[in-house]
Amino acid sequence: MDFTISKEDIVKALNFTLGVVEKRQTLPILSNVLINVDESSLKLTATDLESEVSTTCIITNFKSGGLTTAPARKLSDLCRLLPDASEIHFYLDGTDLKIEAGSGKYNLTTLPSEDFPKFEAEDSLSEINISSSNIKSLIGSTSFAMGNDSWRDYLSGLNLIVDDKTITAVATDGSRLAVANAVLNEALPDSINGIVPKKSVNEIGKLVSETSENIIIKLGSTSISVDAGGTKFVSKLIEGKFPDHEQVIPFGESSTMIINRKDFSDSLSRVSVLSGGDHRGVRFITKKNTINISANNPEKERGEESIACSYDGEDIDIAFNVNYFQEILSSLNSEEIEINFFGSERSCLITEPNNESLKYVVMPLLV
Amino acid sequence: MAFALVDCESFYASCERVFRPDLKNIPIVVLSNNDGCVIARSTEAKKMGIAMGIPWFKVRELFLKQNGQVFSSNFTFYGDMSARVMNILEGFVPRVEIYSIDEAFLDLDSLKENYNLYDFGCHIRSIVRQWTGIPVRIGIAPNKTLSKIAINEIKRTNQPTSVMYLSTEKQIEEALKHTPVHKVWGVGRRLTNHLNNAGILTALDLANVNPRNIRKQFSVVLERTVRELKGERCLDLDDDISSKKQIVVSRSFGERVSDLKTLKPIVSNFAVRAAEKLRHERRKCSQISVFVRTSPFNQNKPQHSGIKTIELFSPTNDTRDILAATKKGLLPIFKSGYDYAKAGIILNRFSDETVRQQLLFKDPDSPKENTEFMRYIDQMNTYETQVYFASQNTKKWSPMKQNMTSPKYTTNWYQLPRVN
Repeated sequence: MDFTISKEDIVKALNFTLGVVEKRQTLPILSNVLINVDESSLKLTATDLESEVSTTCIITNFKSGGLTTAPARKLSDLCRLLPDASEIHFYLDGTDLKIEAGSGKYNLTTLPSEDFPKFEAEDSLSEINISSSNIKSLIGSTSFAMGNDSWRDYLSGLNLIVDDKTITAVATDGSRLAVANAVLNEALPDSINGIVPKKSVNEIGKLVSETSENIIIKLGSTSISVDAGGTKFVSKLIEGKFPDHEQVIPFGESSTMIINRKDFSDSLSRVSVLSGGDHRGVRFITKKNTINISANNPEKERGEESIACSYDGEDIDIAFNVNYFQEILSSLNSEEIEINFFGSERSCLITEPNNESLKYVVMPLLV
Repeated sequence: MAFALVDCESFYASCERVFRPDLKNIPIVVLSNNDGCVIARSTEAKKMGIAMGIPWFKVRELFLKQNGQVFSSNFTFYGDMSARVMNILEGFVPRVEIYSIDEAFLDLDSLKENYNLYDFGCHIRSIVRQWTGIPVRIGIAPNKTLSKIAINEIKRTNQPTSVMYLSTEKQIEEALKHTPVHKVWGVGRRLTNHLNNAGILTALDLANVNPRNIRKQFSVVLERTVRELKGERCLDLDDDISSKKQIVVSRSFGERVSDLKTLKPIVSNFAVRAAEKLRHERRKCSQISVFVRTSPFNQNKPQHSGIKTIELFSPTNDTRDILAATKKGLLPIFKSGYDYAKAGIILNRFSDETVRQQLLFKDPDSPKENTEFMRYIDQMNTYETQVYFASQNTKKWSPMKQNMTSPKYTTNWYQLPRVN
């Protein structure tokens, strides 16, 4: 192996792989990146056994090809710190990867490429064609609601449901739910769904943010793959059945409030400074065209604000975890939001007025 | 104004004397679980040179030869006596911090100005003595650190009233001069070495250091100590009961346990006790860990230790939920062929008993949520009726080797002291 590549190209490629490389891996080789060089390109691959990313970039000078693995973080740090526009010369010397740029000479120890784990890709995958802006928006407006508990695995991921020309992303931690819909470029003959692990959702989010082209997502029964701008990301899906989200979206008679999103969020931020306890509770009391927000803490400090809104429903006294509300408010873009209350012990539904594609459900606190 | 530190004198030994007046002036030691080491000594035993923490077998012969009296630890009894003492203290002032089983800080700020604090201390002492039989020392000073110093001074000067009020600068300076730096509250062994190397040998030396430099060289914690030694008040009473973050119930076994049939009921007993403590704190938990281990001192035998953590979807303090999680945790970590020497339960991730986050989906393992039922069980068990759960060990067999336990005089109807 002997080739030269520009600093900018290899740094960008290594950045794609770093998200997958585990910081505290169990097998030493998992901290390495697989380097595969042929006449025209360099392919870098990283895996954590649950997912794999591979990205290709053009090399500027080729002498000989080959395969090896080198420590991903050291390689990335080294390349990143070289002067801009450097041409970096890589070659193998026995088991050492030699790196030269300007007057600098470095060598990294390698591990044999044969030991690099192969990611078993699935054959029968349904192909989903979606614009990058749609998939970005799906992930951005739902991923924050994914669960954190490792014991109930299926909640620690994003459920993607594809039916005809619609893709739905659903995330829940068991106490709040985020649902977003988007339109596909082409309809799918069969409906399909899968739960994408949290880490992979974040990686896919990073990948699609780098491109403005259409994205091809391949979804199977056990894996998902995403192709974008020369980079391919593959991940196993979480086994298990995602709970039926439709049944927990409240419906029927409700009291609807229209409120300015920024005013509401700012008030919550101020009042919640004095919210204590384990659940970060804030209390809402709704009256005609006003909502009173209050919070207190074990030190008996208290904050309270009343803000104007459009509301003509019943008077409701209800408490919520303020973080649940704040995360929803910051993921929305509209000037106003709509909150539907169904009683003081039932969940509430948060949407953007005139936007059917986004729904948030939050369960209250019982005090 | 001032804080008072109430410190029960040789607490465990004093408890043993309450219903045994014949033990007056007799040396007493109390041993750790399994009767391994000395964990408490009466003044007479201290005078005999019995060191704290010394293995019992090393001093047994000498101690018994001199007519000393030895007890296995009886924590049910000591805990009840402690609760009685604390209860009395809470009647004197509105703010009390129960610092340990035998120490409590009292905030005296609520008393009228010019109140005679020394007399007040003497009054507290005589009431506690009269109502419980437990002798206490009372150190009164402008802050918590100095009230600890006052207790040391009572011991050093053998103060006959066992009450000391450090009110003037001169009194404080005199007390600090006689307190070695390692006896200052919050100064541990490693810190003592550093301070000694810097020429700081007494509490007075420490009080004379610039607190700013202390923060730079050591920590803000030690800076607070220095400021308190100078008479400033940096530490307030910690009377927030929600501060507990973890409950651990564990024991070393007197006899090794190698079969699951024996181990399960023992671990269930720990789970029941942990759940009781959790309800007492008015908290719920959503993480339960079970651990077992063999003896690290027995290197000839195969070694194994295991811990398994069970997460709950909904927080609980119901014994039945905690027992179910305990069983789920114990089965995968138990391995046959090992002599287990210790096991325990750790409860974590606490939340307020009164606030509950509602769930969108039905929890298949939803907690029993029958607070009334558990309260009823707790009330019955307070009077030693002992309602057992099916998985518990109901026999009098204990995993601990304790042969010299005194009766549970105050918590068991059948062990009430008899007057002949």
